[in-house]
Amino acid sequence: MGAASDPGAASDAARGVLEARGITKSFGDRLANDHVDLTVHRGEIRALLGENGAGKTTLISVLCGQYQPDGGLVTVHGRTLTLGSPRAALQAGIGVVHQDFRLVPRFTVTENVVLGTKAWGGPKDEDTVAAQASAAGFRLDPRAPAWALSVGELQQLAILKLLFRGLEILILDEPTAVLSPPQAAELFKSMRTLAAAGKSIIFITHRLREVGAVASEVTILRQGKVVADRAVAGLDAQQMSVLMIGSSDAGGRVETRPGAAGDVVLRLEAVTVEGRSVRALDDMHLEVRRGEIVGVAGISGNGQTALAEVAAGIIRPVSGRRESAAAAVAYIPEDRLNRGLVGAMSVTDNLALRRYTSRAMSHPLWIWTDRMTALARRLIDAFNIPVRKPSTRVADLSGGGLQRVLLARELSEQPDLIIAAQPTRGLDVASAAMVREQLVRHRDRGAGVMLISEDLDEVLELSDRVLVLFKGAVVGEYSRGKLNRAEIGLRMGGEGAA
Amino acid sequence: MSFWLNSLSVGIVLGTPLAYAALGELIAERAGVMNLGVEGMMLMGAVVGFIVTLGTHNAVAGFAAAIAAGAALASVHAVMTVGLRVNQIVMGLTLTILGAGLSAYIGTGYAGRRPGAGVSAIAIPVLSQIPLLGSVLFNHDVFVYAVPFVALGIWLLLYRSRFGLWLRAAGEQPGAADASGVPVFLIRYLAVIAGGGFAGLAGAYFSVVYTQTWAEGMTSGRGWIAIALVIFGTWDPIVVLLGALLFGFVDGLNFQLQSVGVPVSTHLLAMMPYVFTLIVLVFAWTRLRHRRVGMPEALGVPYEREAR
Repeated sequence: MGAASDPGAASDAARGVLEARGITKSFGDRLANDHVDLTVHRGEIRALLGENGAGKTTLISVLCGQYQPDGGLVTVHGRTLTLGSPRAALQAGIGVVHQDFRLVPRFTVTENVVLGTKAWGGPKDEDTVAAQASAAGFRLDPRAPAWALSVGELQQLAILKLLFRGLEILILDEPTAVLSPPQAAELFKSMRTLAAAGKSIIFITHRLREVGAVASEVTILRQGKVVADRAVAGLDAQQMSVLMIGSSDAGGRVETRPGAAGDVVLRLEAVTVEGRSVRALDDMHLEVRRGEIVGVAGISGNGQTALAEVAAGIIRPVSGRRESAAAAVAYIPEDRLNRGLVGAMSVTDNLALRRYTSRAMSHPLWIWTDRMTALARRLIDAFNIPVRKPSTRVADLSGGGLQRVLLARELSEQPDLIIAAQPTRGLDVASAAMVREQLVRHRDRGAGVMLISEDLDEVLELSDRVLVLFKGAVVGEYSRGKLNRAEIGLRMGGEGAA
Repeated sequence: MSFWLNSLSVGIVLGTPLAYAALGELIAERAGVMNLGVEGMMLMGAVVGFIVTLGTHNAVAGFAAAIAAGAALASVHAVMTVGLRVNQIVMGLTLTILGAGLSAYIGTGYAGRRPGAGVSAIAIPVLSQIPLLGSVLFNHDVFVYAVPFVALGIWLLLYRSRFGLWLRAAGEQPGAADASGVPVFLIRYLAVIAGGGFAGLAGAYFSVVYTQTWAEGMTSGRGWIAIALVIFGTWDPIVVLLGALLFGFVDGLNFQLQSVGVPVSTHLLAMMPYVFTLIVLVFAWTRLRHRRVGMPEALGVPYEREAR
């Protein structure tokens, strides 16, 4: 960029390529960023660490111009950046690979890469993009439509888009969330190469393991405030965890003894489900017994959603059979607000949804609203749902609050089978711990639990048996005590002999 | 033989204004904005075009005014739906009703008069002498000749230009476009206003060229047909043009059948184009459901940068 010839550039080494000072942003009465400072130097890989809801994504949304902050200042190469304009941020050299990649599925690779620049994606641009892709070590067909790409390829495309513009400050928002461990290692290699070439990289994560693996500096956010800003060297995972969470035990590992597996409560036989372009589930065989937690590990987009819905009995497979001996099935869908709850209705109504037709809650002609409210009050207490009154709209709750309402409704009926899809994704530590505790408690009571999660650590911690899901099929099965993290990681990426 | 040739010739004339209106709607929809106010904008174009032509004895001035009237009403749509993020369906319906009422009010006293100037047919030398098809295809006014080029021009704009790439991105994934530095709001404004201009032109074609008279509600639902044609044409300008001509042909057939006196109620005959539209939509939609082409993904969804 033109900034290289700027007289101020000489002092960049000392001052930092990007400096954010006092960034403040609130949503309603919640302060997402509270006077946050962040500095990145040339050629540096800085981890931005924090648990879900700590304000990481808000901060980078401000840096890339998507959010207009309430206060604060950002300078790039010493020049003040116009805030609230994605265009200005790009011109200053700041680019983000968002968690959802922000690509146009119907556009080709080339069209996605050049979008927003002077080019329109013609044959010449295709050649340029192909050349840049191979220079970066990416294998992308410039004419392939984005919808046909795998998640890993989409991420490469999103990175290529920033490289094409010659951006200097690359922000990666939770890039490893969708990758298998070997793919993540590959990404870290690319990041180091880019940093060595003079790019500054901000790497967002909530996984401590990854900070040490790739970053040299770390900024830790907690509840919208910076609580640490230092070199990674000399900082161990335990210290980072304490800084990130605020106390040493809030993360609360669940004490898990192996479960005693009983009768089969769910059996899937040769289940096949069609997806948009590929088979969502392809000849899937699976059993869940009473008193065990079956963990399903895999990278997102390998059939998890279809598996959860078939297992819960919501969709019917195209072929194959689902047999269930369960009298009551609890389903905790990954899309809590749209699939699990009715956002515009109150906590009371949502809690009563599964049983308002029962005699305890209603007469054939009317509903006992007082009994529903009483039930709601009881469950709000039992599950620590963070609301002042039961009539609060569910959509106004945080992610943790939503999940507590969902658990309260689904688990209070003593189900025999629990299907939990990504049950801790995006939750604060306390709510996540509560979810895990509940799953274990119901397992011990004798329910069969299927835990579908992209968080491999969680699956390994809780499961009595681990299945690895890849392209809609089970490609590996491990019982407790025979878990091999490295091998599971390979299988998740479709590697390793099945 | 002359029955079919006449139907074809009338069909081309009737299909032309539909094509303009539908192409205008296509531009707006490709940018992600549904404009259900096409009917109202056509009526405004029809009445304003008619009055200005009558007053100036100049059809060019009339058409310019009609385009401006359509664009003006469309800019209301743009401000409300793009700027203020009002529901696009509700706003479009409102503008159709507003356009119908306003045009009837403005046009009071003009019903039954002649515009005093028009756009005459130009027979293209040599080509119009071709037996049979020559006079059907090459003895029309300038708007008929221009429409294939307009459709082609829009296709080139969409698929062979930077602006087109940006416009399609605004209609598919406005969040991705915005993050890439594409001025999503500006593009949506321009697309909606341009679409309104096309609708205004289409309306004036009815009043100044085709019927050469003004009557309240004279477009009789053709704005809605134009919207349906965009779906039928899977948001592709070339297919939309062909669809418009096909529809015009069916519409023309109706008049021809009436004039030769087939023993069928004229009311049933007049229904033909609309029944035809229904059937075509059913087929188009079953086709669309199985393909990845067609409807812009963000169609009808207001874009908000800070939405969470």
